[in-house]
Amino acid sequence: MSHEHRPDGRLRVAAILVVSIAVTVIDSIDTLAVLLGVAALATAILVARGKLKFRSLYKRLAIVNFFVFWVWLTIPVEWPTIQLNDLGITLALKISLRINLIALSVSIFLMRMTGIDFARAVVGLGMPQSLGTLLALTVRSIALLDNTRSRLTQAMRARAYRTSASFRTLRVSSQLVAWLIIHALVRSERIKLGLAARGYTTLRWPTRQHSHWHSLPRSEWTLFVGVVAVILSAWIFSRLWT
Amino acid sequence: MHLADGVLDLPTLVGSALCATAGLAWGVRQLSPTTLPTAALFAAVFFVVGTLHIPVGIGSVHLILNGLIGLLLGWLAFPVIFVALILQALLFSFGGFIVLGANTLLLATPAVLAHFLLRPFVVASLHSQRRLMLLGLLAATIGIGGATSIASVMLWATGQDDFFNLIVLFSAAQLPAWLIDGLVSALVVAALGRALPSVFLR
Repeated sequence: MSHEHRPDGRLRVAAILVVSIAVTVIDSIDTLAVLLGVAALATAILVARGKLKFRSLYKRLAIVNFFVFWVWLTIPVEWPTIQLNDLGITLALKISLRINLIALSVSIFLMRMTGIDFARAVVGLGMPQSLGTLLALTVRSIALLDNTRSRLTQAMRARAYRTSASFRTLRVSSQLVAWLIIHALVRSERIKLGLAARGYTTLRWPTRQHSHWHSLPRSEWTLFVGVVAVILSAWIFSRLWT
Repeated sequence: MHLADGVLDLPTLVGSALCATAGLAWGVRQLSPTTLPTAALFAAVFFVVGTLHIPVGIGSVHLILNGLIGLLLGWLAFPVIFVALILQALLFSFGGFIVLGANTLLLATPAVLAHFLLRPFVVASLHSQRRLMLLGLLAATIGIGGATSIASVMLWATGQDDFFNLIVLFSAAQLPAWLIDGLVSALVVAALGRALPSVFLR
């Protein structure tokens, strides 16, 4: 699929921003819990319909909850007496809800988005074109460098190298990093020549212009409006409840 | 070293995003069609290196190398680290999107500091492997130490005394990262000085 046929992800990224800001501002545990419930339900439906891979979702949640574990170890517990305090428990609970809510939202909206799609979307939302171009070029460069790293790692393994907690591992890893940097510099010189040969003299985003907001698919608008509606409903519900 | 979404409060997020925007604006001014490929490839190096894990005891530490990136790139470290952090958040859930300004600020500020404090000494020490190693170690110390300090200040601004234990544990957990990053940076700076000294003369 060429970039011309990629879906426009502006509203999805905007939805993530709305969720992130709302979750940071909302202070009520009830509201956060309701929103997490909605996000968990949406995630379960997407996983059941095969639109979201459970394995990647699990990895994402494991990473963020590693930090949550730290939070529960430190904030509600008074060391060294190991006493729990209520204020700390409330704070840790809020942080846990927020972290998981944002992680689920990112999974729902962005998991199937590539780096290039994301770069296009953020440029469409107002990020400077030079940063968008840098992001897009970085995505392409990662593939190149990862390929180089794989070849080097394979060559190291062929010489019976195994990583271990030793100075040899540190030395070999350093050589790998140094070689990646040298490779990056040499490659950048070649890319510069290529760009100059093609008359590339600006930092403008080299893809088609974004379509008008009103011509975005109705499904994307439904998704965005749905997110805003759910957040507002949960907030109003919690205000009425208390 | 990333702060997760949902931990910092709104004033801290806004303040750090504004500071990061100032750094980014200055860094973007250094971007040109000639520096763009180098910046993109260094962002890719920063991203790929972040996936390398060095075994330490029963666990492992992943490389950060913000001091080294700063030493090589100066103000360009801001856009380079910003872009790498976006991709890490998108692909691996390291950090997050709303906390992007804070994470950029805490990693890129010490990187730029390392550049301006150490670069003249590196240029003057290209003939001495020992000095280069020491300067690499110092770059990592400024990189990791600075990032830990800024992250601690942000956490303190958010939670004051409630976050005290978290700050202590967070800072202590960076010690192995500093040690590994320091040794790797020392060896990398020495290797670059041997193989491609022109990298420090740009």
